[in-house]
Amino acid sequence: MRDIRAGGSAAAATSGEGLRTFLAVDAGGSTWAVEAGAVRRVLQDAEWSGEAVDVARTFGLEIEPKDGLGHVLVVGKGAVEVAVRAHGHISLIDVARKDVHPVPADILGITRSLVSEVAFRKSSAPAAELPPLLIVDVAALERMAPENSEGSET
Amino acid sequence: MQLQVEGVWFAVDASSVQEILGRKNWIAVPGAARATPGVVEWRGRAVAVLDVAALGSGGSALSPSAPRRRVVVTQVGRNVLAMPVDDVREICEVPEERVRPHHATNHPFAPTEVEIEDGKPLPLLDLSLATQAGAGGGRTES
Repeated sequence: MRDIRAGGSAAAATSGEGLRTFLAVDAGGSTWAVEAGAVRRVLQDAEWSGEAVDVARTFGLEIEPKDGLGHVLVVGKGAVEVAVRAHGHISLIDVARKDVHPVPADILGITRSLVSEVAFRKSSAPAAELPPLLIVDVAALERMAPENSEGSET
Repeated sequence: MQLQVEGVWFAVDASSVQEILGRKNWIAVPGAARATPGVVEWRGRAVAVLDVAALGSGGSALSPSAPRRRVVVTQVGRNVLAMPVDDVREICEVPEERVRPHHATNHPFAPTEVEIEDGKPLPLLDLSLATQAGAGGGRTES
């Protein structure tokens, strides 16, 4: 697990063979994550003046705002950029590709959900268990981008 | 095969059962249906969790912090479902005539019931119906 600092670019994060890299955000006892390659900028809350998608609130997670941990991730794969609010600690996490699984969205009744995949992470320590990652679909985030309301860095 | 969830016994067609696991953690997926609230890892994939207690039998809904003692993995058509349960009994063979439309039992996802050895009928869960309940059912609160 590696920390990244606000203002840094995560897009340069590269995945080793067999690994996928995510920016993971702690939220209310759960951890959601977005593909690191889709994150263009990580800003402090105060550096963003526009609207932002609040993934944790969309998920109904209980958030305890912590001083100094409010960030905005600017995410996008194509022409669209969407700002995503991150309330908790942000980490860069490598996950083995084999541990990332698509969710059976049709059975769960969530065909248009933000969650596209989950990662069950293995710990090298026998007794330790790492919390799973709820992986947010960048395309679904882009669909949530408020039209004509591009934010700006202040 | 007989299963118990929250004090209620059910039967399922044993031919659909792929594996019986011990207690296994699962992950809640936000926005998922109440009957299929999350996923569990099984044989290198994420399979849907089916909470039988949420299908109308009463009892407490499944919680990630309190996984049940056993997980019964079943194949329903192309779908795989993992059912956390409290207890599992051995497979028993039952003559066709002991499977009949429900009469003594009344469960929305068990249109038939089966009479096991002690003469007491158990609701025979229709897992296809249960799967549809997940796909079209009520949402979880999160």
